[in-house]
Amino acid sequence: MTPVSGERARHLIYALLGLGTAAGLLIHVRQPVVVTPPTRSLRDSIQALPRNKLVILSIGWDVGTRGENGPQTEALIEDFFRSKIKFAIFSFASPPGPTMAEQIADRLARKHHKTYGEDWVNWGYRTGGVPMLMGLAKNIPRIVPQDLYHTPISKIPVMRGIRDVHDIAMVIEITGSASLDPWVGFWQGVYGTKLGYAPTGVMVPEAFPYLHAGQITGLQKGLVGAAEYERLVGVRGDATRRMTALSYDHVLVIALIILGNWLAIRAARRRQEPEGQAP
Amino acid sequence: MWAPVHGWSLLGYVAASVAAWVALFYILHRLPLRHKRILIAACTFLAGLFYTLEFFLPAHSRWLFFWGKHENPLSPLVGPLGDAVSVIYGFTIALGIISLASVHGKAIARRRSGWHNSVAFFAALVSMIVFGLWQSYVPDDPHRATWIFRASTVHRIYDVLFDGMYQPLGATVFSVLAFYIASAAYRAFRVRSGEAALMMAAAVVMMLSQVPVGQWLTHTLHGPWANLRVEVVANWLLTTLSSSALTGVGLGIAVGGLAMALRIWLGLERGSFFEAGGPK
Repeated sequence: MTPVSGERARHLIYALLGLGTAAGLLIHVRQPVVVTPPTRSLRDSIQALPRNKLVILSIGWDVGTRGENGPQTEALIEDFFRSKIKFAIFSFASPPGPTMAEQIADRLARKHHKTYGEDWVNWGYRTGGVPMLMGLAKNIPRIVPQDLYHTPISKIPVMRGIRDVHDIAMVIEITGSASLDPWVGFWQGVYGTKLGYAPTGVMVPEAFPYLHAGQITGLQKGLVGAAEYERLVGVRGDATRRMTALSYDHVLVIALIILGNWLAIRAARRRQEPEGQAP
Repeated sequence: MWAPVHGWSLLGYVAASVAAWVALFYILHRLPLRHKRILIAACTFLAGLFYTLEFFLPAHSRWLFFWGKHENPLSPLVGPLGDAVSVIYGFTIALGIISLASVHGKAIARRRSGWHNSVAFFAALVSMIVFGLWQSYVPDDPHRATWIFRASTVHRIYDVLFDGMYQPLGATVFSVLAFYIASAAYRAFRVRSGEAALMMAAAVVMMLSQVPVGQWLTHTLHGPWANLRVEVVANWLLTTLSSSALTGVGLGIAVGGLAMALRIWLGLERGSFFEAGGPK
């Protein structure tokens, strides 16, 4: 068998990946999703929250990582609506994030007959980084005087009685970038606010030291974490539907690694053979 | 003093702030480099000192804050300073736009190769700013006319730009990475040593643990063998080996960051601004 040339091999890999992923998104093969301890811990800590306080859903993602962070957001909002937990969509890291999360909340609100302003609020994007977050902890209406739709915060029912960090039950950071540290340093570390984390798959290993230290109470590990969360909530959402494509992609990458190594070993042996046979 | 103002008072405050900033920037621009250095170092030190003291001093103390309600007097200033930082961040966005406009404007004026991409940049920038702001401020009533278009038309144009173009284009750019990763897996991930073999074994376990099909492969293992299930091994790798190593790396980065922060705070870090390449 002649090894496939570089250019042709690349095209073949692209075709296998593109067509396989597309097929995986269209054809859903039901697969067992095993719930891991970090996801269970996140769900348990959310279920234990007091219902008279607000949860901040901090959106640190945009279109680039929507494939993973979108279903994570969806699974969490689904759980909030079902569990009657009121929440605020907010971002300090991604300007388009709150608009994109609002689209998900809007869609799920129609399904659950929830009303904007009564069951959730969208604070929008705020610039200012860490100093802004420090100010937010001390005086929320000052930093967020109006919502995404320019309605004064004082006129939104769900914001009644929400003044500072003590009226926030939990912050959940859903992100494709390193935007957890400010919450850990200036909210969890200072006020003991509960933190949840939903990063993309490649960021998961970096999250475990925070989980070990108890700085975050739970973790949604990328898309598979979202699928696990959906299983806990009892819904088949986007994450579960995308598992077929994700399984295919991971198996393909593993197969490519093995194939690449096998071809490399074979080529090395061939190079050595003539030298060994030489007198 | 820090209460929000509205109406004409707000306009007055904005006008006064703009005038003050223009004057300040003019003075800064005219100052010799030596004085600029002192001013920037002093501002940096004061800002750092404020946040350090606010963070480390207790919120309440009868001994330290023996007057009034015995509260940290710096804490109420965090909000207004947060507002000020937000405004400064806003300036940085404007600076970014000016810089991009300058680069792409020159490319169009000089007809450099790929100048049509610069035209696309300006078209995207202007249309998103115009329709983004417009749809944000038009009333929800779809039949109400707003200047040229009806409100519903403005919303629809914005939806086409944001949902129909921005989102798919951004997702496409990021998705291309997957193709490179798959290609790199085939070409670059070679087992050339014992360490590389260990790394590959860990990578394979992690990749399998992240998908149901990997978890399914070992789901029949029960009893003591259940410890060899893919998701259990992956969890052990993450919580024990990887977590310990990453904590060590994180600690090193934190100590380095602290040293760097101290250098910047105390004005010891010079950087390009004060060196020969910086402004004169």
